[in-house]
Amino acid sequence: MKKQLLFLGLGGVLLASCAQDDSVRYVDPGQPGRVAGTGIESQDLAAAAQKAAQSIVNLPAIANAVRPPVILITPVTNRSASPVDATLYTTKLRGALMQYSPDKARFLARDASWNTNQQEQGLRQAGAVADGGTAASGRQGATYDYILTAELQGISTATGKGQSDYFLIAFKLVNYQDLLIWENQYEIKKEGREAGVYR
Amino acid sequence: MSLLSACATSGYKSASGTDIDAKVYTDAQRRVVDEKIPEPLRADFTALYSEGQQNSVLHSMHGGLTALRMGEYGIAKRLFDGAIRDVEALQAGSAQARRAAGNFVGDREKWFKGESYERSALYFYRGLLYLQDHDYGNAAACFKRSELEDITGDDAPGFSGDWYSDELGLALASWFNGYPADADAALRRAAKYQSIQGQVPPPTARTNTLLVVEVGIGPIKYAAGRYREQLRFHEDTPATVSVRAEPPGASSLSAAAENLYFQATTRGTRQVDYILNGKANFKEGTGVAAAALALGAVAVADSQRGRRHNDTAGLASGALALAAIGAAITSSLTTPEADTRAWNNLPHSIFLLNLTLPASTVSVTVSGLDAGGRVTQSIAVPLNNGKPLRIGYVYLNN
Repeated sequence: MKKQLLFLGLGGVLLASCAQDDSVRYVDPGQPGRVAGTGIESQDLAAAAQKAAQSIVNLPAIANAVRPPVILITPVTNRSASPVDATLYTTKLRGALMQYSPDKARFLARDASWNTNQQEQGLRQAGAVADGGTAASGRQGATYDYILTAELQGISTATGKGQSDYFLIAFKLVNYQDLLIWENQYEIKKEGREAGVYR
Repeated sequence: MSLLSACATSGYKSASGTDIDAKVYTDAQRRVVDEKIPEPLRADFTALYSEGQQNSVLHSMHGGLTALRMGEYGIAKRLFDGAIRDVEALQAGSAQARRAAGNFVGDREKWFKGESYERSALYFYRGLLYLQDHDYGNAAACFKRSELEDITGDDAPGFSGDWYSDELGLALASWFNGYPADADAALRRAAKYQSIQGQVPPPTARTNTLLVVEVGIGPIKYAAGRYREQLRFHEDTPATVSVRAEPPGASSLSAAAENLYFQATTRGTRQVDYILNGKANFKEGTGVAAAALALGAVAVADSQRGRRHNDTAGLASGALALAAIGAAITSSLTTPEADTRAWNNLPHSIFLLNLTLPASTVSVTVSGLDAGGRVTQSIAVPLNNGKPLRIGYVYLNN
């Protein structure tokens, strides 16, 4: 009987070894991942956006404004040697700013609504849909008081001995008269080396 | 016996030469159908889903390029992005990499990340797709990263980061991104590269159409050396040496912007070459030791022939024989063979034709020319309506 159990046990192990590893785990997106490279990653993005948001909401022009200013966040300009998801970056930055300044600033979200609103306006004007709800009958999009820009620059090197990436993320808050209200920079430097069998 | 065959094999082998479990293979095939993967890509996706991380980059590269040539740009981007993620992740596959560096595990068992020229090509093609989407910042980033992937050994210092096509792509992306100084700098760098194949008209601020013409078959990997420990490349030279585009009212003649065989063979000595050479030496050393021990065993046995009851000599002979067997087994288990897995649908050459065409132009005729100026092939390439930059792709098989 013991032999049979042992036999079955071995079979179980063998069968289990055939199955694919489907294990999934939740990880903190703000922490370095296990499969990190030297490029820009989610935690870099999150950290820079967080710091920028904290700094911006403390600006006198924002914190002391009588009327909450409207800010347009432009897509990140990438001049580095690391492709980035510009949309994700913009969304993260806007989310962080909203978190820190729900009542101190308002944000234009043309990326999210412009096309749909324009289409709806066309339908209203054509009489295809009725005015109603809480929306005004005519559409006039809001303009902004400030533009928030982000530019990613970098210096990258790679040799057979390893690779290195330095990134500078520069945020600028510019008003409607092209005056620079605020600028802040965040630096990231990473070095890494691939295993010898890949070099 | 039935338990040992519990992992029923599908009859298919992975690119690394290992058997693929039947259930895993069937599930992969089902998933490919469920996801409505286009027929020409099903083999790549089935391999991708059934061979795990060991070969995911390989199949993503191959499938990505097939998808790009089919015009399935969404799939191409998805596959290339997956491959880039795995190539970039330095720790990914580190345990397998350590195993592969050992004497008894083949180099082809490591997670495939490609040779330098394959990694450069990966970023180059992804850069083209970003250009097509008018995402010039990320396009430029990809062309820069492609150059960074072109690393060389200390014995080939003049050939690192010398992809001419990357600089052309970077120049084009920089023009459209509003950085003319970056475009000029890229073209100045390119002019100094040893990889230049001939006269290639560069992009200008007026370029509004890019034709990407791929020609022939890329570098073919093979293993050479006594123990197949040396990675070598075979060149399948295509007849086409230049390409001409004939849009209405204009024509453009260009040499190749990139020769992938040149890039593959100017890599210099790799770190892994030292590892494989060490394995080969180990295999040879243990093989020689086995032969010497076997001879010793025979000699001892011979010297005692005709004598009776000499236990010491018998034991010595037996021990030598056992040691010989051990050394022979060790030698036979040592696997110094070079990894010849390859992104095998890469072209031999890539031509980039930068054109300025009226918006009304709907197609361009592309002709390949041999060394004597004779037309090898001629294909009409449809152009999309993308503004401000249109991109057309064409593949010439010779």
